[in-house]
Amino acid sequence: MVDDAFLNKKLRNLLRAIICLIVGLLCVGCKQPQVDPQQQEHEHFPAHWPHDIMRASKRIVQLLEDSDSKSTGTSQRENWPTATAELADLVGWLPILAADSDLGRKDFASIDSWSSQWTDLLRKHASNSESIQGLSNLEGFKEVAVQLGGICQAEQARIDRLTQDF
Amino acid sequence: MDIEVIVFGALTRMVQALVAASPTIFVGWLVAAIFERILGREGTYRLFGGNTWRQLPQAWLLGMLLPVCSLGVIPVMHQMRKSGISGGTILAFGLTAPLFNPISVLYGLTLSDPLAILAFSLCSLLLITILGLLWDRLFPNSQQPLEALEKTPYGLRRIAAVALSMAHQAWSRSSLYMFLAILGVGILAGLLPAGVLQRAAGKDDTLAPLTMSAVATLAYITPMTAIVQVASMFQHGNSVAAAFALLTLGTGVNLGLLVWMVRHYGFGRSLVWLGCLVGIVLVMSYSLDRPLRPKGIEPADHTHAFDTYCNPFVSGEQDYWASSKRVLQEAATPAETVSLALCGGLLLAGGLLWRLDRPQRAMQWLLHAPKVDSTAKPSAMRDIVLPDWVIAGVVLGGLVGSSLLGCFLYYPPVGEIRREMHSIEAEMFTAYQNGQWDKLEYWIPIQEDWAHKMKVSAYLRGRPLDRYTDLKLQVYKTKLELLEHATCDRDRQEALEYGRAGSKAFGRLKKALGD
Repeated sequence: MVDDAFLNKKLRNLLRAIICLIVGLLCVGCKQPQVDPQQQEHEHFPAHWPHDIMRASKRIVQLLEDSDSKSTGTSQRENWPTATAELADLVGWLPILAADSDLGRKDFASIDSWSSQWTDLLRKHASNSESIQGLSNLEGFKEVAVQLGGICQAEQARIDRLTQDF
Repeated sequence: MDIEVIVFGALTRMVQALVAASPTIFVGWLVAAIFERILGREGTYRLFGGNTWRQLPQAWLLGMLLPVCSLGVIPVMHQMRKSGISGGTILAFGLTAPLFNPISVLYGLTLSDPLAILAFSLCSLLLITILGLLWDRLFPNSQQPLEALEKTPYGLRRIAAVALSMAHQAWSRSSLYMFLAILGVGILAGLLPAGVLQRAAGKDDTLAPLTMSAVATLAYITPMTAIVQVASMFQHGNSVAAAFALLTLGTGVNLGLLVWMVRHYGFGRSLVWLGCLVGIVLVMSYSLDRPLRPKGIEPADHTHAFDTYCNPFVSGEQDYWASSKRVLQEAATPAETVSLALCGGLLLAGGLLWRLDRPQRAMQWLLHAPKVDSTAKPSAMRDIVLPDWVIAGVVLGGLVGSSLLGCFLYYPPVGEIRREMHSIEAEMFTAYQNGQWDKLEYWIPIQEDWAHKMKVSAYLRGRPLDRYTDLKLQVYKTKLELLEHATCDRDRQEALEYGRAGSKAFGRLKKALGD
């Protein structure tokens, strides 16, 4: 299969280089990277990830109340976004958090629709470093937060009943 | 790294690459044999648009349709060169054929944003057009004169001639280039310790496309693996620029292909081509990064998409031989095992022919069959002499058609996938309850694979998952990934926590699917 004509000078040099590289590699070896298992933990989620929809709902309400009393207090924490940015993130995550719960299709559809309606608006608002108070149609958003709270409370009550029964 | 880790790791990755490549290598030999024995030199020349403006778009289109990888494309490029096709067109075909095939495009379309795969496809067209035009402008007359070839008579002898040609293709210099490509994978695994690329493609890492270009040029990836990795990068919000560099250079270029170029076009020209390719890919990568960046995805600062380029082992493991065997057993699907056996059979037949029939008497006998007057009136309707272009069209069209049909086999109906996942979930349940790490390491990637297939299967059958079910599936995949991390860290408590969360998420997914 391999004849002398095939291995012309350049090709021979290339093959030599490859063999030298392999030999060098075998002699020297590479350093193993030090991967800290703790460092890998929870990298998938940012610090303000709420873990479930109930907590997300409560946090949204809290952020709105804080903004009313003009004392957000959230930007003080390390790796924590501004209140508006956090609110934008929370609203953006609502559909996936709803999917990670036992909520039915109807409730999910409402939450998904609120999320798509408000996320971009809140993100834009956050990118301009504006406060929650400056949000146009803030009352409309507050209404959504109340409805979300209602869905979450009903779901929590259902879970509590189940826990009690079993 | 220990010498043992380097040697076993490199060999394992090389065998893994060979196994993964075997179906497309087989198709590559088949396509090359069809070009040689059915289409002939002039037919192949015409198929690629001859000497007209159509040659580059046609090479791109054929490359998109034919299911070959960057190893299987080498014998096809060899036949194209013998058919007098220009260097620019050959290299354009060689670069695009491995990038996409019908199955991988289908998968790609189910990415979070199908616009991304469309943009990637169009950029690949733009890339090969620029490169092809540049090549033909810089190095005119790079084609070799059309090599004379005896016409193959029709009938059973033509079929036998195609089979014989496949055996010749298998035992040819092309296989040596393929071996070099696989050697490149081994070198990479020897150079890169396990997990070293996990943080190489961060969303805001401006050097990510450069790192990816350096690694991907030496790597060999099948089109399907590449698209799965690109999908994973999108899902994790990694650098889009790095994803494009990975898809183009990782799938399109390998060490064997570079050596093939040096051999046929010289070192200087090959270097210019590679420089232009990497340069254009980088420009395109950086341009695509912002517009295609997925919205609303929280970027993970690491990815496991590139673990397969690195050494699979870490120092301190006891039995590398057993670990290698396990890695290979997990990697080989039944289709790949059959393809590997077929490739081995062809290689053996080719070797025997080279040893026993060097003057190619068998082929001469097939080519000099008694001539039949094709103008004579056929004795019966079933005895019709079909022109070569019809046969070639049917075979090449059949290849494309069968790869489309293969999509339906590769992605079974959603109900079937759900049942399969249910059984695996039961296996994983006992494994995470009892801390059976080997069992978890075996089942999690299989379950992840089925989870990916579910979405494509639904899409393929015209009934895409609704948003509710789709997000349930996404949640389940996230839980699986967390369980995978806990398994890697051998953290019993986390494995139990994420395992239970996964089982719960799977229950919800089944309910959403109407169970």
